[in-house]
Amino acid sequence: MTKKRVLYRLLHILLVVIGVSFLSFLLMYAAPGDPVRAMYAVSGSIPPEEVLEQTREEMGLNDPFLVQYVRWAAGCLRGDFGTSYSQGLAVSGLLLERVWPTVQLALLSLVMMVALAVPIGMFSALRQNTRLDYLLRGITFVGISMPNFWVGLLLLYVVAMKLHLLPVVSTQMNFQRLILPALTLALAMAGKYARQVRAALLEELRQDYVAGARARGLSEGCILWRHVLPNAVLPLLTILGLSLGSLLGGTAVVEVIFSYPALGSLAIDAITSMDYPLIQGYVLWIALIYMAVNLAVDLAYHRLDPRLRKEGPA
Amino acid sequence: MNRAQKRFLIFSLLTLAIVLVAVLAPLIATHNPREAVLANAVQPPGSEHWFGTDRMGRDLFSRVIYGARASILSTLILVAGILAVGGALGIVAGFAGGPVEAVIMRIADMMVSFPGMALAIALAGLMGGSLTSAILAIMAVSWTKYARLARSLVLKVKHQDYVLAARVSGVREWDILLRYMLPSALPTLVITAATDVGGMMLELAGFSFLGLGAQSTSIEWGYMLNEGRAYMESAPWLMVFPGLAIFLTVSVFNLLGDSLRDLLDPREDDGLPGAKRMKRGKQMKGIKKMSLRTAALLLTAALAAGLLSGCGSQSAGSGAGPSGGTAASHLNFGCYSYSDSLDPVVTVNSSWAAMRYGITECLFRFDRQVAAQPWLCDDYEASDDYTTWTLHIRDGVQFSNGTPVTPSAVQAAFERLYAETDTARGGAGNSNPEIYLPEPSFSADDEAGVLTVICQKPTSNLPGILAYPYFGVIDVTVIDRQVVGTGPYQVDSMRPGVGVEMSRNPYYWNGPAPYDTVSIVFIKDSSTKAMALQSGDVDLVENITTASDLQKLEADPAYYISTAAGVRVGSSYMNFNGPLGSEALRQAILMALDNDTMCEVTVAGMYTAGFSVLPSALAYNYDQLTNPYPYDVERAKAVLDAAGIVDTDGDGIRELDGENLNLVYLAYTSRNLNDFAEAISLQLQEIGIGVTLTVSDYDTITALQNAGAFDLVTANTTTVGTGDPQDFLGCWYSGNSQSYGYYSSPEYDACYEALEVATDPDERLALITRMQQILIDDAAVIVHGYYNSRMFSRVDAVTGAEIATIDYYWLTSDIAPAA
Repeated sequence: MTKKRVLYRLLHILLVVIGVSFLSFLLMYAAPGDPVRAMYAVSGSIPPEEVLEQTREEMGLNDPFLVQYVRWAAGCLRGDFGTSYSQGLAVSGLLLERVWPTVQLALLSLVMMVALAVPIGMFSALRQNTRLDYLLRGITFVGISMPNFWVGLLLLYVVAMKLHLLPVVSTQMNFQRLILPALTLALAMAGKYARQVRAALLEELRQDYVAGARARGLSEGCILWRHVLPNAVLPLLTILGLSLGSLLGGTAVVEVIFSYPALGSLAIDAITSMDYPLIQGYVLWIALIYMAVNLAVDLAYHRLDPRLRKEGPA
Repeated sequence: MNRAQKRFLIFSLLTLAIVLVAVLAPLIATHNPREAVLANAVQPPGSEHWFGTDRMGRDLFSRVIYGARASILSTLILVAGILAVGGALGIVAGFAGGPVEAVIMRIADMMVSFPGMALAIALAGLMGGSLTSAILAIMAVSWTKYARLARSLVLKVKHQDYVLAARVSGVREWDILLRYMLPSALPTLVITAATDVGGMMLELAGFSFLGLGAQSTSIEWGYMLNEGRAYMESAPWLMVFPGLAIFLTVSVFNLLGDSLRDLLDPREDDGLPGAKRMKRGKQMKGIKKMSLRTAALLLTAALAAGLLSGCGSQSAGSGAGPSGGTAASHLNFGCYSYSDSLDPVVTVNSSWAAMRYGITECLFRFDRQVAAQPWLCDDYEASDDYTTWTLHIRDGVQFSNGTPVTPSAVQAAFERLYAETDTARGGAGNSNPEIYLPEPSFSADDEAGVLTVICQKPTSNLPGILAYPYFGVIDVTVIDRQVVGTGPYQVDSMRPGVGVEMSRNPYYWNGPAPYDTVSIVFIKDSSTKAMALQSGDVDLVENITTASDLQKLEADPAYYISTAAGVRVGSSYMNFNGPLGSEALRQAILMALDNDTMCEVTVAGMYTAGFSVLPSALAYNYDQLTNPYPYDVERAKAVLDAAGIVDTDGDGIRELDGENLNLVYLAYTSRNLNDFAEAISLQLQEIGIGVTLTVSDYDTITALQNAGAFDLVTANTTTVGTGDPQDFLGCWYSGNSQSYGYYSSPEYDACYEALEVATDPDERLALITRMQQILIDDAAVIVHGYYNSRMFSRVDAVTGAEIATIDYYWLTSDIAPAA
């Protein structure tokens, strides 16, 4: 079943990628503003209209939309995503350079988030409506209610500048550099997840199978760890997949504050300089990565939830 | 009434109170939130202004109260939208299964994997940057979360026995959907939505942070917060009050969501008979007790891991820092990175980067007054018609790999530059040196040490053009491996987005470079630059643009700040085809503007005030110019009254030719131009001139400008990119002036035409001086000031860190370790 299912999903991914690439190309095509003008504007002086027109012609920007799209898509299939207008370098190289830092940041912040959210959520649920519960929920409120860039600047100010625990900036791409940006992202998410864990646990603890398990004489620890927790956390897995996806594409604010070279800030730069090839390449890459992650999450979900295992496109 | 109901009631009332504040804003606010008194800018909280005033001198309390409207309404619309769309589609998908599910979920996959930011920009581009486009963009990618959640909730109950039982007993599918699926999914969805209200509010604030959401014309908390960010330390109230408003509102919405969860959860309070509930409660005690211990253990472990990683890195950090040892001298330089490449031919920015980092040099170099002086070329001669130039290359100059810099090496570098601009010859086509020097031909005589340049037309400014970073001299024989120039430092390695490692160029011709090694650290955010300098992670940074950081460093003797009023002028063009054709109106406008306050307070010292289009720091006789229209509001009003531009119908707006004066002002969000435009609009309204301000991105504004649909439009222009202002002054030549406001003056045109053919430096200077004065006398343009460049250094570590007037040079061989 799994093999067939994976093939089925891969086909879907292909369709979605085509859709995404088409949509992104269409959006950039429809956006006002003139990339040629923007290209020249970087140098501070814009040449006369004839030169602009000639450049447009040379770059194929005057061709019909479909011709431009097919030309670009064919290039992508060969691994050629075009040349960045603003950077003058191959788009694939620019993106590739930033993929690994992006993945590192996303994964570490997820790990930090889980390490914070699951224990807090458990405490809260198991001590429902006690002072501890209120305290922990209060803390999660603060986490949820503070703007990201505020938390980031605060962490940078206290941890790096005042306490000198970590460098503010460095040329080394090491673990130290990851800690603060990942923590900023993790803090923002942890509040949300802790509440989800709490809600889910409370719901599961009230299910009849808990009473049933107890009646069969299972130990309390076994009930919690083997039955309640997996059931409670499983539905959160889909949301976790979504979080990972948005982490991979949308951490620009944190990247800017911590001077962290990931994809989000590259995209913002590309967007402000109307760098069409870079934007389109970025969108396509993010979509691909995102769908790969989602496929993995879905497979895990099907594997872990026995109720769904029966299903399948058989 | 049980506890959950009580709590829900309390938080509902609180929510209601916040909503009431928004609705009743006009009754609560103490001032008009849009009324600005520039002289009262950035006042601390007091009895008159409870929350202080913002940088435009507006009452912050009233703005925070009014801000509730836009902030809450936009958030609620956003959440309601995604809940309705996402929930409905998800439930249908989960219930129907098969192709319906496949289609819906694949669209969801597509939208969710489409990066929200990119969509937001595209939408902002299509509809103009606004809250609406931010809402639509977030909506377009966020509904999928609800769809997936709804689907998974439906899947969970779909195969439950009671659903099967219902189906077997003949209940219609539609009823199953409404009576079983919807109720089972709705509580979780609504709870998620309720808790999402806060998050979405923050998301919108984040969009504003990146300039994609609310614009300066709307009153919105997120935008206020971002505006106040530059004053974080000097005027914290600008950030505290809007931040607090967001925080409190988000918290109340979150608490409401929580209590709603408790209320809607039928299994907790209402679903179970009391006795059974108590029994179950007892049973659960065991499980709680035992796993609390485990959870405590987990949390402790997590915290310990965090602490350990912190401590571990502390020791590593101190080890990795600048050693300050005796033998090796090392500099850490923090700067913004504009390019991932250092090869001068790749883009303008890459050529600038290589020169700024001290890697490449040109044949000529600009001095502090932006006049080109001999550098790698030590002697030169031009033919009488300025088409043929013979340049003698300085003897004994070597590239950093030891290869001698011969005229033919220079020729090779220049020819590669031109070849790369031409896609037909296999180049990338991104650089455009032709706009400065079209189709030159080069020939080298290595024996005589002479490079001959033949220009297509008379070029009296060739030294200035060859000082432009495009013409950085590099060793083309090794360019496929690395960029090798003649500057004081050479590249060891570069990591895009991270930094550059450099070491001393052992063959540097102009004395030994002061540092053995240099690390360039790329820093994007201005506040981060300031912190890195203060923490000692870097010794030197360029251009900190956040006001509070700037003020703090200026006050601290541990830092040296070199400031140069640069070569960029900030200005607003006036459109003579319209009301501004009236000379009296133009003069009154210039007199109504408090330029000094705008430069010092509104844009926090980012500009040096001035009244001529050419910067005061350049050698174009700024001190000989006179300004007939200094700041004088009363005189401005008198001039308008005398010209018959008066308010006859008593609406506070003066009329010109029987129509209310309403100027269309376009401004783009770059280098504080929108701040100037905003402040100017407010000041003009004070003297009875109506202004409609449009703030948008550069391209949108340029398009509107080219269509001529403006009275005033902002610009930030490099005046002397190649050391000569002729091109820039052409903006007011009647043959070119369409896009810049249709200015036309016979005397100015005559001067410009004379300038085009003049080659004698004194004659050129006289013409340029005269042209500046003509523009000033005609009140042809609003000059805001000259954009400052700055270099910041730690006094204990670095000496000689001066910023150049033109920003092609950052790291020079004058920057050396402090004694």
